Amino acid sequence: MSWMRLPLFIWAHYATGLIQILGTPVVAIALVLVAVERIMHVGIFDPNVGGDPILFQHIFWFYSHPAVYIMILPGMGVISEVIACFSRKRPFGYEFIAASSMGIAILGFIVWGHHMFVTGQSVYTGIVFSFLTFFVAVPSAIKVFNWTATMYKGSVTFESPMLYSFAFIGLFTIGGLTGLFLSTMATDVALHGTYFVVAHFHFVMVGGMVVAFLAGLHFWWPKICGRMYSEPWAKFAALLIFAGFNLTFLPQFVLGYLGMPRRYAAYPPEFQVLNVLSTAGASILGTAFFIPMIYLTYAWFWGPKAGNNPWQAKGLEWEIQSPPTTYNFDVTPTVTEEAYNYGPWEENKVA
Amino acid sequence: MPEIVHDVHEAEAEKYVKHHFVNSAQQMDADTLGMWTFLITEVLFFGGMFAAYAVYRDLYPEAFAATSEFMNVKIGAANTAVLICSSLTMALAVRSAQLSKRKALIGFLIGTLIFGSIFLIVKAFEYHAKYVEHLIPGPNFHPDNLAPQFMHHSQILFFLYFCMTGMHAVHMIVGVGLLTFLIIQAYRNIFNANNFVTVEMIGLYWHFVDVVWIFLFPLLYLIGHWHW
Amino acid sequence: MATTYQPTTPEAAAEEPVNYLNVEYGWKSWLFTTDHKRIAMLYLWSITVMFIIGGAFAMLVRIHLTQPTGLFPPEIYNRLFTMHGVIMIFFFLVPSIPATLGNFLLPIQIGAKDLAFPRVNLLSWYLYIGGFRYLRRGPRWCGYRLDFLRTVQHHLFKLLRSFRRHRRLHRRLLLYHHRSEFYRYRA
Repeated sequence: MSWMRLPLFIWAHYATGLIQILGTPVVAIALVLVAVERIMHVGIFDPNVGGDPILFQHIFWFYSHPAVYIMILPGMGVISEVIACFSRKRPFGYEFIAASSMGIAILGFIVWGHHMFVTGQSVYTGIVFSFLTFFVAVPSAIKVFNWTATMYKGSVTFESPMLYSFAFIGLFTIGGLTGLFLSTMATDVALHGTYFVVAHFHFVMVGGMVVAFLAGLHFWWPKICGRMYSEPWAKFAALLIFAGFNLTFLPQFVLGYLGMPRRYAAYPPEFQVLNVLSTAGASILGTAFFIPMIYLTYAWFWGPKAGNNPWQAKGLEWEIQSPPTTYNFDVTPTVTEEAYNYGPWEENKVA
Repeated sequence: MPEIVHDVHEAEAEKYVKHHFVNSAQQMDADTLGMWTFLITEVLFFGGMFAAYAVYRDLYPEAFAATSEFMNVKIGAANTAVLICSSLTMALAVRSAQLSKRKALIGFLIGTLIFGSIFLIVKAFEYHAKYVEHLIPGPNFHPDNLAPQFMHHSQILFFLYFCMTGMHAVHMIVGVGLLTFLIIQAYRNIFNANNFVTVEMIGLYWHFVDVVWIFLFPLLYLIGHWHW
Repeated sequence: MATTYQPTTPEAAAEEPVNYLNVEYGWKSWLFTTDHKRIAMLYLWSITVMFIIGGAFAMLVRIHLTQPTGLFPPEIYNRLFTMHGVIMIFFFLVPSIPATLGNFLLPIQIGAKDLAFPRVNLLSWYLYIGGFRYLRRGPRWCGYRLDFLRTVQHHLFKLLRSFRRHRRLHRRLLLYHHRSEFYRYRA
């Protein structure tokens, strides 16, 4: 197994691990300082005692921005795997997807100031962070283009993991594009602290990450428990989640644009219709999330047995039995063929 | 990492390989990578406090310079020397493990333990002295002979002092615990030329804690004693 | 989970190959496992529970926001969305793929028998579970306690009771009565 034969899932987790190692200790120390500050009643961040609250924000966001990349990169890895399998094609631009994962990891550390445009920091600082944030959107866009190019002229089928992947590409793109509005300092001054921000991050987190998690769960469920779940229920749940999600969070973009602040317990009455729409969507979404819990659990115990490779996917995990043995392999395999070695598309058409 | 040349049969080394590793070289690689990764996270962890220190020192240089008069440079220097000696004994302990010298290993580990304990005891006396002199930030903070305009900001320095040296002391205590574990294992003759990675890794950790102190000492103790 | 796989006849035993689920039974074999796949399943169960809890807070937030003046007192609303965010991010989103799918698949996809440090892996799950303890309130030595869940429960029940009787009157009373007697706040 060489670096360029690794599945993209591994590349994504490698990048995630790098971010976690470098970023998490910083938020740990921020929390330690806050905790000790509270105990000793002295201010390191408390302005009344000569402390600097902006310092806390810097230390906090230095981790918390890379944290969102910690959350999304594994999801992107899952999507790469699922799209390759259900398009029966090697991911377009494998090297670029791998390099973009690393690029996101590195660039993600130098954009934290875009959470602080309105803190009174210097305009020049804001300009730099704004530019760098635009720059960090590029690797994510590269990945989205690569996924769509993977599907182009592939033999695409619409199993439920693939439905979730479609949802991911659409919703993550919307979330990412609205992130660009927020990274533009001029518009962020108006949108900061409004529901636009809330909608943006729910699109990338729920529409992106949770959807990718569900895609991965469904894709690998037969491997995890050796049994297949009910595909019609899965499709139904996927569509219901998509509908509920959009009904919940699209109105929130409008609310933010119209000026409704976030974290406020009350709002002007003219926003009520949109809020009620959002709550209705949330009810649908909440119900829809329970459906996979039910049929996946049912499948674990009583589903039909799935073989080692029900999706006819490429990858070492599909070569071993479902569920795997404790030590996975009797002999460490030697990987000589390239990753995602799907054949010519006529041969791989899945009925 | 030193190149260990030993002519022990390969099968001897394989006895100590855990089930999920292919051979002892891979295990050593993984263990080393794991420990260095952890140390990198520790660098970031202490780095946050160093960053806070840098920011406040930049904001309030006179307060910091005035406050450093309260730090006892002699004790700090003595502690530094003690810690450097402990690093020496630790390195010698690792070498003894690599050469399967059990008695030397135990001796050097005990030496490291003694030096580390001396450091902690001296630190405890130092903290007690600060407590007696009302230098702990909070409601009872009132240092003698400090200009009143520095009162607030000097508390920040002391806060950072206690946080940074306190966090360092916590790491030392963990290190002392690990050393105790090592001594017990060495007594049971666990370590030899084929199985010394544990000693080496804990040695890495100990050296790291030492290096953190090497940075702490000048920044906290020596700053005011150097004038523009 | 374990009992369904127990083969009762030789034929049944023959048709069910040994795998990481049925190789050992009992709670000890799960809680003291070093098998990355079992740890992945431990995580899966835990994050699902946290997802449900975080989702419950989300529903409370959205229910509150159906009214322009809100349904809960503002301090309670603040804590509702804070808990929703903290639980969802740190207890669900961050571990979701890496700790479940990643734990399960990473060694298999690279042809390894386990992760490099299996016991550290198990420790990470214990630390994750240990984090639950600090959700409701910080460590005792922080000197700060807020009986949060009890407060939310109190208000929720008040709200539900009010639906049975005079809705408008009770809601107004609720808004006026967000005094400190409803929650204990020890500084």
